[in-house]
Amino acid sequence: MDQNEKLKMLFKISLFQTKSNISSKWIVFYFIFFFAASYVSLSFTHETSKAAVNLMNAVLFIVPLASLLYGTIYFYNNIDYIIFILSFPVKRPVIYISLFSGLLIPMAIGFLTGIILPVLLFNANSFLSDFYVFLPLIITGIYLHLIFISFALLIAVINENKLLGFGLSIFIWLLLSVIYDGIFLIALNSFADYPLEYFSIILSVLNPIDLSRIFITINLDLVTLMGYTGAVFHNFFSNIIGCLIIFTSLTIWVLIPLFLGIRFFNKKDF
Amino acid sequence: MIKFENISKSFSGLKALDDINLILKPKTFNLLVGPNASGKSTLIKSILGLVNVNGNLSVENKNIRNTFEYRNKIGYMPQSFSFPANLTVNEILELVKSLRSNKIYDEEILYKFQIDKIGSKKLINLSGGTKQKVNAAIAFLFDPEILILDEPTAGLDMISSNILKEKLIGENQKGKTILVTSHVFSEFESIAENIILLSEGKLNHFGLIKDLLNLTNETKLEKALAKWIKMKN
Amino acid sequence: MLNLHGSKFLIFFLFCYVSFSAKTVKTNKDLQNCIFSAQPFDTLIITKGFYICDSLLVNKPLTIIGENYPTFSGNNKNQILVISANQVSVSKIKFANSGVSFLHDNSAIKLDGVKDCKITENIFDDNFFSIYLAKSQNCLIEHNRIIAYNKRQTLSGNGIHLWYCRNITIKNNFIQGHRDGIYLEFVRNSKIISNRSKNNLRYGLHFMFSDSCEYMKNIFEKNIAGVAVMYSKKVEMTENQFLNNWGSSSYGLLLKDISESNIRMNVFKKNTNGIYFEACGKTNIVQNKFIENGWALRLMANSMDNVFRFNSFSSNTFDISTNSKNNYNLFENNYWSEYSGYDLNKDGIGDIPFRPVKLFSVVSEKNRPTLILLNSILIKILDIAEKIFPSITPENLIDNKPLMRPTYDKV
Repeated sequence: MDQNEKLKMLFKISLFQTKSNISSKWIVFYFIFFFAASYVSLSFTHETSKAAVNLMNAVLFIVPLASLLYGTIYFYNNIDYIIFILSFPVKRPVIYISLFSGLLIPMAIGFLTGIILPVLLFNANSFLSDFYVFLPLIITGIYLHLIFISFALLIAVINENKLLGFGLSIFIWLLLSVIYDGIFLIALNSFADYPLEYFSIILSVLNPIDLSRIFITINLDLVTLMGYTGAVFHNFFSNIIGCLIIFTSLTIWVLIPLFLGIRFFNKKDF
Repeated sequence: MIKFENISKSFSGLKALDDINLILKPKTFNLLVGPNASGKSTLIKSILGLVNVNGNLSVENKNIRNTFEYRNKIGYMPQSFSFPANLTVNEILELVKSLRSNKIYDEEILYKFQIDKIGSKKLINLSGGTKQKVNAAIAFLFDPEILILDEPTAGLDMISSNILKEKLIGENQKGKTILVTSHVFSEFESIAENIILLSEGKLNHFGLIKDLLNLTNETKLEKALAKWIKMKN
Repeated sequence: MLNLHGSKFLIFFLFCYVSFSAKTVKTNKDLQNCIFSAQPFDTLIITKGFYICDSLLVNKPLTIIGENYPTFSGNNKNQILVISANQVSVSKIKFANSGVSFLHDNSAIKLDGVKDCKITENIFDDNFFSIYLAKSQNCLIEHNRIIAYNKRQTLSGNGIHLWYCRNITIKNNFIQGHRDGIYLEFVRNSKIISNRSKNNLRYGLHFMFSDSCEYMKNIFEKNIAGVAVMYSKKVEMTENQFLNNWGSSSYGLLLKDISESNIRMNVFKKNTNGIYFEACGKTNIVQNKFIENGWALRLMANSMDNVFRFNSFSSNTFDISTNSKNNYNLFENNYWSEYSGYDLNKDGIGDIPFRPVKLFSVVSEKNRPTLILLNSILIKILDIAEKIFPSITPENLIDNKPLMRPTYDKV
């Protein structure tokens, strides 16, 4: 099987899975959710950046949770299909990547159209500038899909027990979106007498949800509220090197679970 | 030819396959039987590379470890068949076709089962029997040298069952190697050549059905097997 | 401290064209000599040209008018014009490049101990101080355009600087790029009206020890602080706009040791801190609008007996932050965009009280680095929990009669 053939297969499987997922009621629901969230936040304020702040909460809250749950459910519900495809002369990593992109593409389409359509509906004339305000949100949204779908697949691959898999998904979500910040807050308060700027930079680089939130916040100029911390942050994150660090870190967050997933998938007995 | 040399597999300490040595010669028609949890599906999955086993397993004289190309030669009909929701039969056929390098198709059974007429229907809306027909049709579709069918007649009506069996006989006569599992022995005892009996992961018996009947002085495979197990104990 | 008698002679030979008949003098050459030879209450018309001046002294009542904006230059080292007589009026002149001098507070125009002077319609370009009034009374500074370009606070003076003055009116000026746009120290009974002060290195308007003054209808934009009012009382602040004073420690209005003042009908939009109160008391904050600020109000513990009424708070990241567990100020009948109560009897007043202080604003007030968690889900959860079971936020900082709509007709 040459590279070309592999890509063709990858494309084919992803395409059919996308086809299957895109009309699934969950993805439709997902689209409706973001459409409503975007529509409501745009209608509450005339300012796109304010709407983006409101939307940010929805994105940071829902995208990881939905990706984790939908990803694990999808794997468990389609295990017979996956086994069947595995009996074909196709390399396992190709199938794994196809599974991944077959989940990513429909979810990302639901998310993107949901967020962007209301912007178009509200003011088609200023679409480009509004789109620019939403761009950090969109980029991090896509990254969060990438990260948490690869987590979802990893969890499903290493756990045959559905309940355990769900539990683990919800735990990872809680851990990264709430518990981590709780520990973060406690740490900041316990060490309030020390200079904490770089400590907090490191802590936030280690959590993709925090990193996404900070990336959006910086781009929405809210960062000035952070006072001195903000200045350190702004200097750290808003130059090219900072951007590189943010995206390298986010990319590592995608690649680690993805590679682990492929590894376990390669060795897995079905 | 499928050759098992010292094949073992255990799942969390429990032995699913225990030192299996077995050669399925080309052009033979083999019936794999055994009680529940005797290792039948593990044996089948090991041929397809779905479970990784210890020992040497070779298909057409090539060890299958870390390869996948040999699966071009195998048609597999799994026991439970499913595809992602919302896909139509035609889309599923298109998908599986794109996954094999073989571009010459044997669509005889497709027509006999009249699957061509339900091509635009979604798989999820089909009855269990019709689904099973699609499943079987895909196994034969690529005209493979080896056919592995896991409980192929389950859920099929008499007529379809017979169409399937006739197709199997025909393919065997054309020189295909066939491995079938079934818990209804009568289904295949007249058409299969060899019997493979697994119990608790071990190869209990392998040989011609004819010989087993003679040995046990029975006319029905079911009774012959019961007697054989008793004799061994 | 003034450099009156040490003024050096001008470089040019002296030439004056004097028309004795009308008491109007038109000149394009030596200005100092011209002023010396003019009679009190003469009008000097300065024709267009470039005049290098060094502490040009006006020591008698004169009206000095520029024709097509002649340039008076301090040549980057001198004070330009010094007025030491009453009833002097200066207009339509461009003052440029008074040099930096910390010893003499070099300024484009310095008025020292005078009364009834008018500085109107001048242009000030790149001066250390632009207009400097010391110990003066009843002066008018109107329609001047004052621009400086220094990037460092330490190398920059103030746009309009008042020291020990009374009854000064500063009106319709445009000030940009100075240290403080307008600076008042020991000033009484003065009015600052309809000025626009933006992009200054420190404050748009700065009060020190200046009681009974009033500023209204001004626009303060993009300064470190729009207005800083310190150690003063009885200050009237009305209908001003504080816009975009946005930076890591920027303020719309900074109040320190203020009492018996009124803050009415102002707009605070997009400031990092809308109003910062420190040791501020007996002040009424009424009918102001706070829109999209980081913190609309930051109320330090030593502020008390202030009244907040009929203000509207919308879309601020934090409406109020405080470092105290107690509150000795009154909040009533304000509109809060975050209020989610109901109004069953339709009187325009919400039926349940509103607590404008969020848990996170208390936490982050004490520990600034925690702001890194701004907008995180954890914080939202904690804020909601705090709203249901208040434990950290001041119990009595509460608006018992919140308005349902931002405008209140009965006012």
